[in-house]
Amino acid sequence: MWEKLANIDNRILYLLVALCLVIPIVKPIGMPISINEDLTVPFYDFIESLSEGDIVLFDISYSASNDTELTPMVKAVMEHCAKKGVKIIVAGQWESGLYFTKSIIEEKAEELGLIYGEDWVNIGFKAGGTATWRLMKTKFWEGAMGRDINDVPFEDLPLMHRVQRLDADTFAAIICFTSGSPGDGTWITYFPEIPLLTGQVAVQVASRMRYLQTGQMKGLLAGMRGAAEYEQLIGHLDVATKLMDAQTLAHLLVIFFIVLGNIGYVAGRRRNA
Amino acid sequence: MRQQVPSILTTVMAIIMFLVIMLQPLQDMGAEASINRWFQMLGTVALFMGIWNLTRTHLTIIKKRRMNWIFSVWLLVVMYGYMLLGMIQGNESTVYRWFYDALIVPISSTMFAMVAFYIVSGAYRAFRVRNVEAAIMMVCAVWVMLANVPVGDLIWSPEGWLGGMQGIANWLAKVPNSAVSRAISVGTFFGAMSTQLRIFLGIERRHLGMGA
Repeated sequence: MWEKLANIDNRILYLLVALCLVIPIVKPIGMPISINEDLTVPFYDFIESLSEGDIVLFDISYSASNDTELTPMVKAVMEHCAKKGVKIIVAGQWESGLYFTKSIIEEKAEELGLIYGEDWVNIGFKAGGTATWRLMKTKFWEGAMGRDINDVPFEDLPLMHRVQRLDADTFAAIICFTSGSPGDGTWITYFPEIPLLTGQVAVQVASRMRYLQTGQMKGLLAGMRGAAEYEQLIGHLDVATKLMDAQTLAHLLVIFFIVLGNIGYVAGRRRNA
Repeated sequence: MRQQVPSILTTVMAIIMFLVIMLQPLQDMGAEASINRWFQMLGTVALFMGIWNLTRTHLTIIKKRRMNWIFSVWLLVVMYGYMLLGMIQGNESTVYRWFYDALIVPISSTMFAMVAFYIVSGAYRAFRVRNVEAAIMMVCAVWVMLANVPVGDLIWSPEGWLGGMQGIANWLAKVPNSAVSRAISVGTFFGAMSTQLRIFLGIERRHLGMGA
């Protein structure tokens, strides 16, 4: 009888996963979320330490598949920067990421009352990989083709007059929201002098912890939990906080089935012994 | 000739790049910026080469009526259709935007979301305590999973001894995980460096269709 626990039909598993994900979204539980002192707090403190008028670069290096985890981070960090009066240059290493998030960022900027061209600019995707970014290091306008995502010349955007080089004198930080490559590797390798903050999908966090420990990253937001924690820190609970209940139940379900599977496995082994 | 010229070009470019990065006077002359500009243009040209290559490969499949050739037809129709739509109407047009927002975004989100189901099934069937190593891995995995959700804080609060579940999960990620991760990276980079050196010196020529 116990051995059957090691061989439950996949359809039952899938149904339970679906229920665990859907029910908390429809009817949230509202579990309290603590703030990770090693990951989220340094990120928040770094943004807090910036002065009004400082410029940060948002690197959108993900696609629609990672929307749930990373877009809430983008919005929360954007809100924090806006509160501090920090100027934002949106760029990206993934063409699909910038195209997909363009309207989301525009809506958020409008909600925050940011003025395009003065408080923030979206320069769009630029082809050419790391060579393009390295060219921007010394000649930002030339590397970025001198035009923003809507084909507006940089000359017409007052904020861009302050951005002539991609260096530590111009940018107070690079904030890279990434789900793969190219991503934070570009900044770690070619721009070590500019402080780097990252928002990572949960599966990447383990491979990025070493950069945090060495100081190559000043802060790291880990998956949807990181976004939810950040929403708490800035005092604006949004979509990531709401989705944490679903993630909690899904994790508990995985653990439950791992335990169940092992009970069945041990029972089967004893019987065969 | 078709094999020797690329080999010579690779070696010459490697020497130039090495000198440009290592010698400050060349940097002051803006040599790196010029080279990066060239790379940027080549990157754009590579996009067209990708399209050309994809077209050629799939046309061959269609001509020879290979298995699932109809999918190749579909790929070419979608690729060129969407490309033409963007060129004619612009990538901010309603129709172009609709294809992206109503098809690509939900499809790619759905594909990624489906992983959750397979992860549960995979974890349930594969995570077996067969030996001590598997047991350690399972305990760590369960610990990290619990620490990453609010229920972990309820079991053992971060304000508690050793920083609670989260404190220990952070330690696992920062110390043993980072140590192993770095070791793998160092090994990978040594391998990559030696391969680069072999290509630069013209020793490794298999990518040009020649023997090593």
